[in-house]
Amino acid sequence: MTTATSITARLIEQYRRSPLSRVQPVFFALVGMVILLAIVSPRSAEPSNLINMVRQGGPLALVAIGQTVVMISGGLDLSVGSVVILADVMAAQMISGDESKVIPVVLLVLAIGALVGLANGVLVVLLRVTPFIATLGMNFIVYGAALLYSGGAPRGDIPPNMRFWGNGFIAEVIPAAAVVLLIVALIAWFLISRTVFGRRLTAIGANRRAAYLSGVSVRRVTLLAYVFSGLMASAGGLLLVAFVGVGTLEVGTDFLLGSIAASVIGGTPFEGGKGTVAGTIAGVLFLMVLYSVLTALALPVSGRRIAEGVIILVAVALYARGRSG
Amino acid sequence: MMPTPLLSIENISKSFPGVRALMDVSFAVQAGEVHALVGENGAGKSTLMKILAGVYQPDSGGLHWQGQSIQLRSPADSQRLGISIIYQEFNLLPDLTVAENVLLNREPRTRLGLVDWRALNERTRQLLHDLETDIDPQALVQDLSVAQQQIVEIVKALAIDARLLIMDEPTAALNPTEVGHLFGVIERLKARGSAVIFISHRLDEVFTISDTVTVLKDGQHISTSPAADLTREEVVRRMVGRQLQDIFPPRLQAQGGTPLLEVHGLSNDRLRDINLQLQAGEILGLAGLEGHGQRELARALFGIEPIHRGTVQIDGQRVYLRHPEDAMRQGVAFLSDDRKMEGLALTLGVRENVALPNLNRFSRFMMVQHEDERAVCGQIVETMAVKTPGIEQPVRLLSGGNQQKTVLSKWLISQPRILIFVEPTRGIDVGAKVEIYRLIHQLAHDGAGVLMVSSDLLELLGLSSRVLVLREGAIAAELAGAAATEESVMLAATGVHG
Ligand SMILES: Nc1ncnc2c1ncn2[C@@H]1O[C@H](COP(=O)(O)OP(=O)(O)OP(=O)(O)O)[C@@H](O)[C@H]1O
Ligand SMILES: [Mg+2]
Repeated sequence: MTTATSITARLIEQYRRSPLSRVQPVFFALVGMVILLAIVSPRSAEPSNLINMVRQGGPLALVAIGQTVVMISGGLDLSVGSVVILADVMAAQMISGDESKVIPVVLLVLAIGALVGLANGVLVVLLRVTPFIATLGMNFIVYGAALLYSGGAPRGDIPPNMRFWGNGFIAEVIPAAAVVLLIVALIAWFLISRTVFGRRLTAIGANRRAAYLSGVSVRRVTLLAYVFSGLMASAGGLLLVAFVGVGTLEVGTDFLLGSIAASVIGGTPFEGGKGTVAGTIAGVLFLMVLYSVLTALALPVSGRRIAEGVIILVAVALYARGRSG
Repeated sequence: MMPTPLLSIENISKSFPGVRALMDVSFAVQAGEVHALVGENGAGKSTLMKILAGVYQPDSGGLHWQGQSIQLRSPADSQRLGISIIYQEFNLLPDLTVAENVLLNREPRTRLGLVDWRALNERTRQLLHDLETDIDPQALVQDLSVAQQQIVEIVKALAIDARLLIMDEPTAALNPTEVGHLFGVIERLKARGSAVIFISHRLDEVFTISDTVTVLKDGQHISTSPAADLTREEVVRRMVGRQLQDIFPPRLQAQGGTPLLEVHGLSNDRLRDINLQLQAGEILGLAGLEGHGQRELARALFGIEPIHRGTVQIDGQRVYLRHPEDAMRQGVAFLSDDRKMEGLALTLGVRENVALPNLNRFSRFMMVQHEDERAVCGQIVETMAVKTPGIEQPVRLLSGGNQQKTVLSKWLISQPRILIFVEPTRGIDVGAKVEIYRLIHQLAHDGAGVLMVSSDLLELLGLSSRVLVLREGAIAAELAGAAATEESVMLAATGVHG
């Protein structure tokens, strides 16, 4: 008994000192989930299928990266789900299959996303509404706008030149969506870990007061974080509509909860002060593989939802425990 | 023959990744004695106390309580034996009242099992009364000053009838009067037969209150001897390993020219008609009793507290200080006395904390230049002798004094022209203090102006070229040169001679 505990203690100690301990747990979870998938459904775990998951996960990954940036600052953006929907229905309806309209509409939709983010930022920073309430309220407003705009029934469709970026392949193997994701991820990584903005963002999340007293313009940085999140949410909506081809009003909750779950599982705590783009993307992939596992188990939709919720909660709770220990 | 000790510490060792905090430490604490524990920053004092509190488990070695071998697996085990501890870092809940904090989880109940609020506040008032403070039991902790929070921590520990009371730097944030009241309480505990372990970097306090002194150095036990057999110099020699001379550098003279900082008629809720001038090369001390406006003045000059009336000029130009950002743009640095809430982002590393106010300097096109950053941060950490396995170590894992050195570092490298330092040496050991005095002195000598607030009057008098004494938010006296003595400052601060 004592030898057993001392051996475990020694193993734990060795693990702590090894470079392995610096790998974020989400990567182990991801590998574990892929192995599980290979067991329950060997076909789904084939490389081509896994690559496909990157393609499907692209839109959520963009939204989650924005969410991560806000969460690092200690905030939360509950409006992302509706921004995805608004971007999605607006793009489909305004482009309506006309290839020449793609670029102007994409730019317009991105600008609207950034504007929603700006509104969130103003509510949080200048009017001092708590992020939870401010962005929840914004979520309703933006969803209402999407309903109004689409008349409750999304119309229009996406022409091939834009659909390519959602579901096409470059050189027949590399999903174009993965390339989009890679580029955005690199920019976000650079922003968070190489720029002055990223350092200030992290400091605000770690200790807002100390950051303020170190000359950080807490308001400006926080505002920019929300703008970035709005921008990323509309980018996610665009990638989604490019993948699906037509607008939808249904996906809001998936993106809202998915973006928060991916961030937290990927190592961004609710209190803020840290977080990485790589971790968040791994969190998104973890969720995608989890969905495949649940699909492979052929559970009814109700059962899948419950299982999803439980697993996400467990993952988040484990993370919270691991940190305080 | 010696009586069985209340507590004996036997061959305790404890390591953290990259740090051997304690090595084979043994000594005993007798009932009814005040046992001082001294040593440099990072010597292992707090780690040992956390082992006694059941927070950490030793890697090897053991404890005996009245001759019986004991294992402390949790703080609850330790409390059950009658060990009560005042931690160096505050653990108060800011949203609760003083009384709720003091009797947390021990709230008196009514017969229906509800919290008896009246009894709660009454009992707390009684405990506060023993320390002769006027803190309101119903005040929220977040509204208290650092000194008041420290007193609440003390009262919280006193609320348990302890056989052994551990005080980890209880006086670091207190002024001499408050320390006096605390010593009164310690004497009463001692008379009751309780033992007290007292940690402080102020050796005069150690000699005033303790019967026995134990010295730790680099995690090792150096000596345990009766205080009566020791001198201050001897204790310092054992702690630092060498003799210390010239605690204070020679006094500086103002360099003349346009004043760096000029304040006219500054008033706000706490300050009345403040006029002052700070010259290059000058160290200006702000003295006074706790709560008479020194902190508020320092904060107003960094844009943290509003200025309702009056003007501030820097280099002869009028400036408007609405945010710390504004003040920093004018070359002002500000060290807060509340390092946990205002000084450090505890979860971030030493480098990230030190770099934070200096990011503009370390960046090009808004990109952080890691080489520059690492070089400068590594350099100051070395100069300040911050004890850490590396500059990436999260600051929450550093000892209290080393955290303070980290906050100092971030401002010392900001190339400030005006330094506003509130309690700069809080929790810093005697050896390191000398080095910090030297650095502050050097900055002033090179043309900066320093405004300093310290509850350690000797330090304030030793460093300042001039001292302004505040009373009730106004300047009561200006004392320079030989006129600035402990007596003259205290007289002006209390207003006794009119
Ligand atoms: N949880 C921890 N993880 C890693 N290192 C730690 C931890 N706690 C303490 N240390 C290290 O152990 C050493 C001893 O720290 P300790 O807090 O006991 O010092 P101290 O004597 O109380 O110093 P001070 O006078 O500054 O309060 C320090 O080098 C510190 O950085
Ligand atoms: Mg300590």
